Amino acid sequence: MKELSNGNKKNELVDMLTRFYVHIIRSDAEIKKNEIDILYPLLLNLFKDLPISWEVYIKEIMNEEYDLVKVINFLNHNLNQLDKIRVIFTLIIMAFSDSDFEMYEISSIQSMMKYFKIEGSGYMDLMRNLELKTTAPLRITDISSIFQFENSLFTDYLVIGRSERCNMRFKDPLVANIEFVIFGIDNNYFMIAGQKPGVKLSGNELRANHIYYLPAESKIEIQKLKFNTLFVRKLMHNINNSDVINFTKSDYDFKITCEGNKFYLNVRRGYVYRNGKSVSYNRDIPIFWDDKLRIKGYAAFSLIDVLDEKERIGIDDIAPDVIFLNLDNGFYSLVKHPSEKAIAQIENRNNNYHFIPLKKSVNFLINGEEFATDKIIHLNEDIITIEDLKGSHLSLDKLSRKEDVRLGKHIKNRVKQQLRNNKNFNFRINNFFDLVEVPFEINNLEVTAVKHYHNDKSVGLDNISFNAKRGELIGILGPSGCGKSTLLKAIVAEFQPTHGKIEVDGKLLYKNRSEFMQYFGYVPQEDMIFANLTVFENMYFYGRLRMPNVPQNQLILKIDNILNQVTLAHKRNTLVGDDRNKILSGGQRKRLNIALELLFEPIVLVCDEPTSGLSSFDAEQIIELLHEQRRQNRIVIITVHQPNAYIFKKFSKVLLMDNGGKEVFFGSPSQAFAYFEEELEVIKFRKNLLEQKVKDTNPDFFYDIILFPEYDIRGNIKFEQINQQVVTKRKFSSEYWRDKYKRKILFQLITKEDTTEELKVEKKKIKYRKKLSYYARLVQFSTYLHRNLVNKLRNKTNLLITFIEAPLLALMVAYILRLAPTSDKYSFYENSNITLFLFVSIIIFVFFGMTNSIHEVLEERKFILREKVRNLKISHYHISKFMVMSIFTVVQALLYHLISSTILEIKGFFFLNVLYFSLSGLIGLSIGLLFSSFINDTKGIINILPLILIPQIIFGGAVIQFDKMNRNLTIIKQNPIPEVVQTIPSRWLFEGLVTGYSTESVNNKELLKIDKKVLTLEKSSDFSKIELMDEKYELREEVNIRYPKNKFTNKDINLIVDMMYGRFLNQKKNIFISPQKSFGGIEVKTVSVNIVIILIYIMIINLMIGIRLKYYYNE
Amino acid sequence: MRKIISAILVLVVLIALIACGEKSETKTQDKKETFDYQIRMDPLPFKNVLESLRPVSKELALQTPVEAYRVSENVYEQSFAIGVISADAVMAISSRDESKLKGYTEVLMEYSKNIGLKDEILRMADEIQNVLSNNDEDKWLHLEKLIINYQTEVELAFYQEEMLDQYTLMQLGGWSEGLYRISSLYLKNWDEKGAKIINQRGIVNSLINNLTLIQSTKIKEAKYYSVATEGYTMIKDIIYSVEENQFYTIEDLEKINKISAKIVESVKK
Repeated sequence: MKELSNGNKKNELVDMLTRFYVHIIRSDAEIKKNEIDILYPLLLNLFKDLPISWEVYIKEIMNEEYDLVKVINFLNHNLNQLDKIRVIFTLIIMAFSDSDFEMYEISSIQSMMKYFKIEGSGYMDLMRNLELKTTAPLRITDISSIFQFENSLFTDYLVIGRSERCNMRFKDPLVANIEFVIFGIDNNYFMIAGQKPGVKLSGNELRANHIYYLPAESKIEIQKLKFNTLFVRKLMHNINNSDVINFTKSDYDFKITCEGNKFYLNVRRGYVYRNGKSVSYNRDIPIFWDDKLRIKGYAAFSLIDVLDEKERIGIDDIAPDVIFLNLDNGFYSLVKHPSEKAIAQIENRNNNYHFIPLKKSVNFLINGEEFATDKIIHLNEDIITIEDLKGSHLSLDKLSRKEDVRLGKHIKNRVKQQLRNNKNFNFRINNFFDLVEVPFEINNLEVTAVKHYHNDKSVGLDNISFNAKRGELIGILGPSGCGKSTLLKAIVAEFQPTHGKIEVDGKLLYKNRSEFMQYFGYVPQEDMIFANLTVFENMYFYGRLRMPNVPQNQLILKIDNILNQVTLAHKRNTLVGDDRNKILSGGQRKRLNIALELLFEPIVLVCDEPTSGLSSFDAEQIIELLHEQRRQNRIVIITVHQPNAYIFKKFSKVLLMDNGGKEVFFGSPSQAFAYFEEELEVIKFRKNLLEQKVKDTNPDFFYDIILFPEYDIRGNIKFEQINQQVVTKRKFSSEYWRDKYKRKILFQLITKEDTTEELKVEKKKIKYRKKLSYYARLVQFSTYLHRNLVNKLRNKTNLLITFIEAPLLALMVAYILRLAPTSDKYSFYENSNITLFLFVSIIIFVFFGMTNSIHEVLEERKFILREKVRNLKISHYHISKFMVMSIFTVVQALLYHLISSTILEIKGFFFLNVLYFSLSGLIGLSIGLLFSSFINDTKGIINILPLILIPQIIFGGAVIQFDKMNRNLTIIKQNPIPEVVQTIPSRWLFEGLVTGYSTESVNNKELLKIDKKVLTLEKSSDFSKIELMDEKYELREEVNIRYPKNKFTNKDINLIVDMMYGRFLNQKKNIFISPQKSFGGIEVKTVSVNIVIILIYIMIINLMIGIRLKYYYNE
Repeated sequence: MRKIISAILVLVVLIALIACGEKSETKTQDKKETFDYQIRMDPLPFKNVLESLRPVSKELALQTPVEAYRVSENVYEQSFAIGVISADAVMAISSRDESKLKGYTEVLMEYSKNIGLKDEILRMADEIQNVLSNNDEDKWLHLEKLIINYQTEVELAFYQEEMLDQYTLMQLGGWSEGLYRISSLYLKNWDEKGAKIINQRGIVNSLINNLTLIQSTKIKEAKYYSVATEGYTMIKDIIYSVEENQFYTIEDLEKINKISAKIVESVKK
């Protein structure tokens, strides 16, 4: 074995020791299972850090012949004392691991001990204890030093003490650096006491540098920490493990990372104390075994508790014995701990849940019936009605009066609003012990003769009729493009079909669209989740947006509950990832999409292709999840392209569709197979195959029979041309299927045969969910802001663009334009490229703004549409998006200015530059958003960029002089500037910035200050004109020395601006690049006017975006 | 012919003096209580003098500097410089050198802003720009007229703003530069009849008078003030040293050239 005999002594020792063990085991006539059980962990232990696996190694030495004497001899000379002792212990444990040990085994062990020169009565005592299974700890032998473990061949040492080397660390100075070391053989543990042992073993003090045997019930006590051998087993198991344990509740969120037996605490939310001190957020803090941890409001705990309770942490009671219905600040919730807020409790007695009211002021009804003291309720089914909210109203007033209870004004308003809007509250408790509000019940969703034509006049849906009842899972099946998704969109009122009607308990869906849609959940085929947000954040933000009235802690509780339902609790803080970087699996993503809708307790849940692209396992899990929703008395309607038999059976009813939106069949899955028997009879080819599928209840049969091809007499498939395409000729056309089904319906109508039982539809008034208060709107807006910000910050490309692109371009542009025309020494004053620099910078920022925003609306189109359907304020979305992006633009402007002004030695224009660059960015951003909201095609949006940008360059005023442009561009010939130019933002930006470089220079501003000062003095003082003039000139001179023009201004800009001012004075009308503008005789600075003009531009463009998004942004 | 010109010049000076006197009177009427009544004599714009030099105008134009005359940040000095540059500009027109003229205009714009005559100069600059951008044959003629007109406007503005000290300095600058350039030209191409042009007694007298009327202590304390006062006294002596029907010698002209050069140099940066 080259790998182990390459001169490395440790490797050679492992080689020899393995040979020794293998020989020992093979020396028995019969190899015992328990010996293999002991050998296996030993091999794992020995080979842990070696380049060869034990399996390969054992295979090879089995074919070799070797001299055991040589092996033992080598071991004797090279093993350290501790390893020799471990070898002996292994032999003893092997011998005593089963009841029928042989005496010769003991004598062999004794001869080995003699050979290894290991002596002492302790070994015999160990054998005796093992035989008698004594529970008292045993001192076996002494050892020269505890530190021998550091040179041991074995790696499984649990080292306890204060030292860094320890894998179970203490902080207490009374604990030795290395207090003791534990190692295990099979399930037997041995302890090596340190040099000054403070540890007690079952109450007894230990001798230094001695090895002890720890039987099953030994108790180890180190300072205040006590644990037993069972816990040692956990610790030993943990040595090579790493794990992260999440502690998440509504009031706290932290994790404990475990690397071996070293632990780190990272608090994300709430108050967690370590030894009484609050732990700061988002930092990995090492925790010692003698540390006391405490969560605010809970009992203290230590790492021992963490390991002891690991199986329970993060897992709520699956079926709690008691849960409490709380009324807290006007909101009802289920909690597991009693409190003053509890108004009822639900007790589990022999798997029956008893509902017990706790407060007389609140009256409860179960399924509309009163009851005396308690009543058994059925999870998912029974409706709990809470009546008489006067009590809570009163309690609210009482609460307000109490000094120690402060109710925020908004909370009071919310409660009052709730009280005004609702008399009774209906709830259902689902089997996840979540309180689900049932504002009203939908018993029946009836789709009648729905026909829909697309814009191109093609038929999308052709007379579809079906109904879905409470607690049913309806599967809509059909080939791709047959109109399944169109039907779903009609059901969720994304559009109104051309003909037909959809009724909810007899009420027309489209007439009450906005009310009904609050109770409809729609999960489209594509993901509706933000890639840069975590699972929790996706739920949280959407929850906050749609339910801004719900207190944050209740929302978090609800999210956690739903994440448990959809089995995503373990992925709570995982980023979702995008198509290129899918962190969540397809199934998990789909479950999250469903979870998003479940958050709002939909009465009707509609999912488009929830299983598409998933493995059959994932698909089945999704169907299970949806089946669970059905059990919770929801109506669940889904489309499935190709379900397997398992999934098919889960449907309450199936709706089979054919091309052209035609209905083929609607009924139960079992009826479906019988329905097609007639056609099965008339086919000749492939009949057996189809019959087999019927036998297997394989739903592929439906596609096979619906799309069954026509064969000629030779058995060849026939073709036909449809819509200029040659396709397989079908035996049964889609019209055939439609007509067959309609005939069936007709028959049923004529014979009054109806397979579906008639439900008494009680026409209840639809309950409106609360109108949003100002507080709720604020919450919604801030949530949008928060979501957009997090989304942007998590987008690495965006961050890279913000923090790298702007400085890089600044560096490039400024360096290229740093011109020293007359001398080697550069001066900002002499640089004739500054005007160009300003123009280029404006264009860069317009470009930045556009590229940052042009995809925004398009990329989030599906979210916008979803949120629009959910009646969210789209203006909040738009404004928050604009604000978040503005922040990035300003940061870019800052960085750009800092770099470019340093290179070009521009002084005194910080504010002006940042302001104008930011305005340029904001204009670009607004234009980008505008186009993004109008164009629905990614490629198109990229192609549009030059069309927006080039006019900004051409008409900006720096590249081509306006008077040198084609005169046909000017409508009124007297105008010096073509009218079209006035619509170009870059022209205003450029003019404002250039004139600002003249009027807003430090030099100019300081001189103006002096003029003003002298003017004031002139009016109010007794100075003579000459004295004032002298004073003025002296001050001006000082300014010109302190802020010399040749450092704080640019010659070319001064010249052009001055010239244009001269023209302004001569022509008495507004001139491009003139520093002053005149409006009705009032002269104002161009730099200021242009800011206002740009702001107006931004407002107008954003108004257009707002109108587009609110009124004209549809599918 | 020269006699006629001289007679016209004297007449013009007289008219100017009268006009100036009237202006000052009108100006100061409102402020009789606080403002000392002073008579500032408006010297003849040297352009009128230069009119007589038309035959040598091209040579004169070539003498004007390529770079505009520059002074420190002192605003009084800049008033002086405006005079110098204006004189250079008027003289330079004959050279048809656009870039030279643009250079002068730039500095004129800069200094005029400091003095507080921004609007007038900027308007002039714009018009100069307009005229220069035309390809008219008469554009240089227009330019001459333009500069003269604006010179008058500037002078008027000085009066209106009661910046009489600055006005004097501008005249000083303009005449000193003109004197220096003319004398330099005749020294190179000696012509005793031509050199008689320096015999502008009214101008010299009015300048000497105006210099004594300067009130600003800042100006009075400045070195150039004493140089100019002394210089013009000496120039007056030279001018008056010959009778009306006699001619100046080369030495006289050399002296005037040196004195005027010294005055111009005393302010230059």
